[in-house]
Amino acid sequence: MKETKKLYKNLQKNIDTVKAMNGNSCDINSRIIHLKKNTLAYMNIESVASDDKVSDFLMRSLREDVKDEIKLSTKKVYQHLKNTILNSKMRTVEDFDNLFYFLASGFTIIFIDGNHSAIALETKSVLDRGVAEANDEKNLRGPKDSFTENYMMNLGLIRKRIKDSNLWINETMIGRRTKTKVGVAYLQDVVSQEKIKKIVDRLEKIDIDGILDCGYILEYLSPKQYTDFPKAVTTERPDLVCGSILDGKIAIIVENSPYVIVLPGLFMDFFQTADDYYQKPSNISLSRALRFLAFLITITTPALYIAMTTFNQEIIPDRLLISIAVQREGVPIPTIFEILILITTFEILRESDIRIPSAMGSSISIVGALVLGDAAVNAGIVSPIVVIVVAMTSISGFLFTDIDFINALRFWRVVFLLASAFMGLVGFVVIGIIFLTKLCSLEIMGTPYLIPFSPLDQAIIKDGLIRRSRNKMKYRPDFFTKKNRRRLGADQSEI
Amino acid sequence: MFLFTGCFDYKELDDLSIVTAVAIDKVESGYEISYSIANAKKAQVSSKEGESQTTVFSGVGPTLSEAMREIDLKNPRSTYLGHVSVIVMSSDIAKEGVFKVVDLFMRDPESRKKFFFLITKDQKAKDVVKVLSPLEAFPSQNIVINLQNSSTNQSISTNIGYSQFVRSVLRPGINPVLPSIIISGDSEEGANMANLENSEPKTYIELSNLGIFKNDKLVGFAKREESRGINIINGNAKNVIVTTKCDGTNFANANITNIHVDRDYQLDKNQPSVNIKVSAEGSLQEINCAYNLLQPKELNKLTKKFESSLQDMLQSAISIAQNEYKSDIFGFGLYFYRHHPNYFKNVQNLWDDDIFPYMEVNFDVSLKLETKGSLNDTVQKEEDIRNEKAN
Repeated sequence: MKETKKLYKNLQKNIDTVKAMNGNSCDINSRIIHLKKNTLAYMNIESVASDDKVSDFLMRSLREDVKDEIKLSTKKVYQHLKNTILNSKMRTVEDFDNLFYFLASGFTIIFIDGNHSAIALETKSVLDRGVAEANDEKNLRGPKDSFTENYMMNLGLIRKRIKDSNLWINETMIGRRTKTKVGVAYLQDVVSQEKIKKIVDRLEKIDIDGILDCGYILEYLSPKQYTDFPKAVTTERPDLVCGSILDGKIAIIVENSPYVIVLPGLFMDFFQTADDYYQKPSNISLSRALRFLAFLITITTPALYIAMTTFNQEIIPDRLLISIAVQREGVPIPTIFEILILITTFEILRESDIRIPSAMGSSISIVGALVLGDAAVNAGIVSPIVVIVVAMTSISGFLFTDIDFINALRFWRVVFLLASAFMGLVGFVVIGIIFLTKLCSLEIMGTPYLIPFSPLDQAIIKDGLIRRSRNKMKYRPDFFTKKNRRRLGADQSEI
Repeated sequence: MFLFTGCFDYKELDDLSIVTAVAIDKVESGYEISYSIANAKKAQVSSKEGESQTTVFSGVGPTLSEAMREIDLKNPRSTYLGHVSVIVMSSDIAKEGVFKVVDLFMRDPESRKKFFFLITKDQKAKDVVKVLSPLEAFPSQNIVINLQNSSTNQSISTNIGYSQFVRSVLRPGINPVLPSIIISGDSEEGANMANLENSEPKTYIELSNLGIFKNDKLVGFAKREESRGINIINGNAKNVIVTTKCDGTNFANANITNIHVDRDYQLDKNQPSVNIKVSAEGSLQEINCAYNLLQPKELNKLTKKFESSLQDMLQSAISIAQNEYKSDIFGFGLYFYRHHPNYFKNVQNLWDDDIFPYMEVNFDVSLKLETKGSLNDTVQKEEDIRNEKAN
């Protein structure tokens, strides 16, 4: 690491150096104030600092504090300013690297002529959109706020929910150029320190010039085991994050990312939503069953359709078979291409729907619905039943909110489809075995991915396929933390 | 791995012609076999099952397989026999013996072996599968649904699956029965769409009485009441209508359900006999006599009458099998084959002709009239009572 340059005593030299470092960028602002005996200067970057704060607090206190002390020595002025200036966040800066980091973070630097160190005061301007309603993970009941790009605000959203001194946040700075703060939040008395150390070590090893979103971190956290299914949950809902922290999981908050990573993310987590814990348990069990059904439908329907109609017609009931056969009359392309064309069209539509400006959104839905649905059938390019199959598949896929999970489903759907197109039900079963083997072999941070289903765990299945009532869930799940498992008070189960 | 497998057994649905009914007839040069194909294309694009048309292809050959090959020459697509639901056989073939026909369909690995077997009565089987139905899309559907409903509601016919039929042919001590089917009206007319445009179609197909087999040969047909009796004794009946004369010229009807049949076999000094205990529940459907149904005594009298007509029905079924056709369609021999193998071994060859006809069969019929409907008396009597009250 190169030697960092210390600040000069000369005020003007300092200002010039900083400006030169940044190539005299337009948004660097500095002002020199001459007092009777001393010369002060302040400096900030206009684009990230708040002018109001600088003018209101800094200027006023400078004037009032220093005017009486005009005859003081340089050292005394420095001490006096440090003690009396009206600002809650103050740092002293002694080298240029640090200085520029503070400048870029929205601090205002005060130089005192003849002094080696400068004072940095927080004058950050608000450069985010404020806490808004969750966009991607909507719910019917429960808190509606969501994380934003503001790191401190995100920490605040967690901290205000868990007011426990055992909620520890471990901060690392990553990115040579972006200097992004990454916080690891966990319950100190629940999570084992080893796991935290492992994560922090891994984070500290990251040497990259920039981290722009939590997705970067996500990639670094599970580089070894290649998997299509996500091994961490990313969510924009603070309540979900806090629920996970209380379960003994670990949250990673990345500066400038409105998504928070929750580790470990298990297969089961993608079938649970925050809502699940705000509604009646018996009803939620049904919703969960529905999600599992949708999971099976979205992965297997096209594959089963093609296996059954082109290889194993015997297993379709008479009338259904004839109905399907009549629909296929006059369709010029083989069934597999029929399905692939429709699935691809649908994926294109979905992709364009994400990117398209909302003003043009309606045109795409009209074209999509007409082209995909009606016109293709009327033109005789695809048969109506295939449209139904693909529609079922796609709709079922949307029960899940995690985009990585949806993409994994899409991948396996096509694999199943191709296998069935080659070998019928035999191919379907072969890929089914490979799929299950693959899922069972995954693990994250020492926890099997498929837990509580494989290995089957009676004790925790109560918050798996079904959700038991609160007073039955006396302990935290024990698959990622064994410490301090009691969740309810001793005699709570009888209430 | 997938690349090496190729696409074995790959068939697009639109390359198949789905055969739903097969008809087998005897002609001079051998056999004529006819396929009723369900997914024939219609002129306009349609997507509903009901709008598709059926087509019948037939081929003639000295053997069944050759007749089938001849159809392949006529039919542009490959025939698919997996979904055959009905096989109709002309009575000529049935009289000659059905083993020749059975073999082909039993051997074919593609067929589901879940189809129903039917015989015609002196009519061409081909014509039966050609008759269009006003209510169902395909002739085969029409036959299957008719068969299933009639066997539960009427118990004249019985829905005997193919494998069940073959089983009863092959097992010792039991002979099969098969439902028969007839065309009423002009058979040419029935294949014509125009036939369906009348509100009362001139030609339609109708299920008829049971055909009685001896081994694999058809020996004759039972009458309606006898068919019912056979079905009751064989435990295939779910609903049976029993009619009895209640006084002089008037009749009463009851619908018999929940029929339990217990057979109690005895082998006494090499004399086989069987007691058949039939218990059932009945509900009164129609009565035109002046019974006071609120009186248990009268009700008992009525029940007794029903019991005796039910017994008559069973008796007639036994007597036609024992005396007229000498064929053990009830499987009495099967019991002795299983439980007295030594005895049955000796008489196996004589069973149908010399033992079964002289077997003693006793009946014990008990009926419970559970409901008498919404009326207590006959309508006439109810009217009288009401008038009295009004006065």
